[in-house]
Amino acid sequence: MILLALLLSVSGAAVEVSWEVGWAGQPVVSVVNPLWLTVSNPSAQPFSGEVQVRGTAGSPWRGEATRTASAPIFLAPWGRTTLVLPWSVDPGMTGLQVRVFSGETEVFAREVALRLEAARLHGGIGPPGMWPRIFLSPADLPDDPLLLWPFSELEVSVPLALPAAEVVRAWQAFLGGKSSFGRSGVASVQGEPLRQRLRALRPAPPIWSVLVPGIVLYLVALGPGLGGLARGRAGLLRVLVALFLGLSLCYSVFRESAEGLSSVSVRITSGDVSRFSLELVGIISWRAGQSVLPGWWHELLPSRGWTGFDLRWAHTPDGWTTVFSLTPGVPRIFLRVAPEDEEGTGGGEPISPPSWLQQTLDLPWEEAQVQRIPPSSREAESFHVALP
Amino acid sequence: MTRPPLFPEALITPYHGFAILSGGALLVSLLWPDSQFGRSLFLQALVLLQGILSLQVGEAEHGFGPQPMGERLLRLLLWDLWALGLASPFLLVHRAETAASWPAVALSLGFLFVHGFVWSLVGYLLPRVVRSDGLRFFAKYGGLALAEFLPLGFGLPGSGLTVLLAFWEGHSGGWPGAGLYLGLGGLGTLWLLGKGRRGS
Repeated sequence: MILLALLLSVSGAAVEVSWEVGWAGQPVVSVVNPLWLTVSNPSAQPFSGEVQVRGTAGSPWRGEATRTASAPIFLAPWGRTTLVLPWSVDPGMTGLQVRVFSGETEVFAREVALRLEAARLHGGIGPPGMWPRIFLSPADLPDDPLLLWPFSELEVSVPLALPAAEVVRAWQAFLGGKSSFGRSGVASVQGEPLRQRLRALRPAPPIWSVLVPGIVLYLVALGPGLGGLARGRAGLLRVLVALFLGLSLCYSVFRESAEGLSSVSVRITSGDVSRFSLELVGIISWRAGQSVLPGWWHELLPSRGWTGFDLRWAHTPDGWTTVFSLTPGVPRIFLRVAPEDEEGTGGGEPISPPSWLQQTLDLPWEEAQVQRIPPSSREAESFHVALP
Repeated sequence: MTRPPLFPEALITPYHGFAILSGGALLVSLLWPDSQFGRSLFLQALVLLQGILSLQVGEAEHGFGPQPMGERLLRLLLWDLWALGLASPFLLVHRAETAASWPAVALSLGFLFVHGFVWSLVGYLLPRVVRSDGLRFFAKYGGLALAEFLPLGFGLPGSGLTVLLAFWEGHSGGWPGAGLYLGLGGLGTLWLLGKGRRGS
């Protein structure tokens, strides 16, 4: 036993992990839930490694998409740490796999079953009351309003400090929450209209002025060429095919430099919330590849066809990053509640909201002001929606 | 024994039609509102059109009567190459618009060559088996439709539609189907050559 304990302590292999998914252990489907992971090091050696959480959403008919979060952990001897991860629970995610690695060695692995709640929760902030709802103390309120998304309604019965009040206001303004604390804003976000918009954005459309006359000329010239071949004179057809092969090769090489990525970004701010804004980003690519968004982003999945919609959140020294692959022609849509940029986005041109934007965001449009922001180099379109 | 023409006049229209429909399919795929569907539309149309053309080429070749099998084989390969040559400019344009890699284009061209050859062999052999013109029509095009669409329903690898799309997108899933076509093409070649030796 002593030898075994010594071996475990030398290899750093002994860690214990406990977890809880969702408020009061009730993960709500299609929103971001808090995932508390407590990692303990019961050995006399410090532990350095990585904790990895992986879940699979979807089904064979809908297609399956994996979500993976990985974060480094450093534990002092007999130390303990609790990580709060934002975790997107999507339909079909009936379990999570929690693994801890020390270098390349897996030192802990466990499957966690999830019992998903279809409806968002009712909760309260303050002392527990009579109703069977979830009560939070002000100290339980997270820094990221996304973690309050599982609640549809919160009854606030105690005064809140300014940072906590901002989190609740942001949840109410951007995530369809209801409380006596400020006004409601964005009731819901629909991914499909934005997906359609993205599909219509080609980074660089075909050069029709070259393509159409070229194809017509080629097809017309093939008539005499094939006739000549039938009469035993293959020269004309050979020249024709070689000429148009060369032209199409030039076209193909010339078009390689065309931009392969388009995106639409929408930033929603509210007069009630000064510290946060809701950000919505849609990306479509015409080339297969991988892309990275700084920060932690939740993905709005389409109704089906989830194969290839894998996502990885990695914790780096600069914070969370969201890493995802891009399949040509397949849009991916992400949202987050981000700390508000103090510089703001001035200089936009006021416009009336496009119909796809109105269909994407369910909010009081008659009170909203929309600006088109001059896009940065890789963006196709950028908008700022200001709620009063 | 009369020498068959280098390129029979009866094939002018099928070849020209193949080129026109391929060009049309390219334009339609570029204009299609759903870019993901448009991406695969041209390739799938090309596979089907090439299959139809190859069947007609094989049948026309059979109509020239007995010829040395080695020469016949070369003619089938040459006509297959002509069809591929006619469609290659469209493939290169499609590459530009879908950002496919050059290896993917090379693999796709290779597969189309084998695919066309196999179906021209089918077209060549069918008149020996099915004498009735009406029945042969159904066997020819029905067989092509079954071979291209039936595997899709069962997730089997034999359809040219899925093989070409997999190669174009750089997936390895096209290899089993390509292997099947290569095997069929190789067997057909051996059979033709063996028959030529026995005949001589």
